[in-house]
Amino acid sequence: MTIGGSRIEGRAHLADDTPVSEARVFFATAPVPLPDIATLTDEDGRFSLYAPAPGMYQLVCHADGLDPATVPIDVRADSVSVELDIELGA
Amino acid sequence: MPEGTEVQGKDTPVSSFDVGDESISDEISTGEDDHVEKTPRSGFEKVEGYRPPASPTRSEFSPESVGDVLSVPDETTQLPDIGEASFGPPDARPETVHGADDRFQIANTAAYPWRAHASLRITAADNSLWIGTGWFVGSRVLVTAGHVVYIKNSGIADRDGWVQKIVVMPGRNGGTLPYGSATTSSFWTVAGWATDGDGEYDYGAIVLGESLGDRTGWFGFGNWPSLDGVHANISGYPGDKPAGTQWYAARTVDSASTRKVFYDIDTAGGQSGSAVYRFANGSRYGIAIHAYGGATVNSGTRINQPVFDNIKKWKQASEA
Repeated sequence: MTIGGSRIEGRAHLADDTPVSEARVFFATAPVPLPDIATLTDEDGRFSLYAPAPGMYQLVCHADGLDPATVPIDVRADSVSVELDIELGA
Repeated sequence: MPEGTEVQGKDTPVSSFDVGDESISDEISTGEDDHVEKTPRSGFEKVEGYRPPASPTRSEFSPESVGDVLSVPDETTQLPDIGEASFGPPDARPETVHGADDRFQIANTAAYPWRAHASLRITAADNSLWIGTGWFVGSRVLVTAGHVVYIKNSGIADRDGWVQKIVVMPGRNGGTLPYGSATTSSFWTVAGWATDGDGEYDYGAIVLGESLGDRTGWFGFGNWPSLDGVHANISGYPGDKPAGTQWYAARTVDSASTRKVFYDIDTAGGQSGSAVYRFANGSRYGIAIHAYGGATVNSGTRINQPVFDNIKKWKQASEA
């Protein structure tokens, strides 16, 4: 793992904890240029991304029919992993 | 470098399968029927309701250079991207939608040129799922970003390497697949990406087992010595819009180096691999492969001479 980077793991779900699969998750902003690609949540609503450098990121999660979620993440130089809990509203 | 010269170094192609060598054609196809959008005079696609944003004044593109395939001097390859001079070094804060969102949804994705773009559903080596974009350059081959077909420096165990498979959905419009879909595990990229993870070599190709491109049509691609003032167009499948919908935006190229093209065209995650294309001689030609979000501009891998030669080879191999 690159020094200073951090694994970002998360789960997208509804208010009643029902997992949201096929949600599209990516970094909208980052301290370094990143590939313009998005991951999809699995059947449990889970995803994992990698923040390659310390700094402020803005992770976004979009699912059809639900309000999108935006999560600011401060990745510190000593970060190893970050766990996110993303609740998507109707 | 003359056309057809053997590509070496970081542009040495690598593939997920074994192929032979054959000649290729340079023709551009608009596909199986007459559902073809008219070629605009402006350099931007004419989409009802869409108005390209105003761009800074630039010198106009010289029509004399249309169709030329010219090389870029190698001595400039060690210089920093000119985009860095204008927009700051890579540690600036990227944001792929800059200011107001200029993207416009394409309704008639079953028409050319929109159907020459494909929504991609990617299964990585660790079974994680991803979305991206590709564009046809031949009946069985699509160009895309290298990181779409070969994941590098992911930071996640078991994720790096060739992706397991990609489902290609040309002209997708939400749940509608006007040309069906094709699944493949045959890909190309180059050593500069697969071995070194160098973002300046971030390009690749997807090879299909069937000739879907004969129905969708395909784009040309070219290497021009100057992209100053060129009108650049991008259409793709961003993740911040309804699933599987295609969105278009355009603007004049901001700057270019020998291996990158910079533009203030709004994109979002999922548009990696989209064609950055121009009009020339009444046809559409890819000039770069969209790959990265940037601080005030986004960027793609420039189709310079080695990239041009590789795409030609990949197209040739797909027709063998």
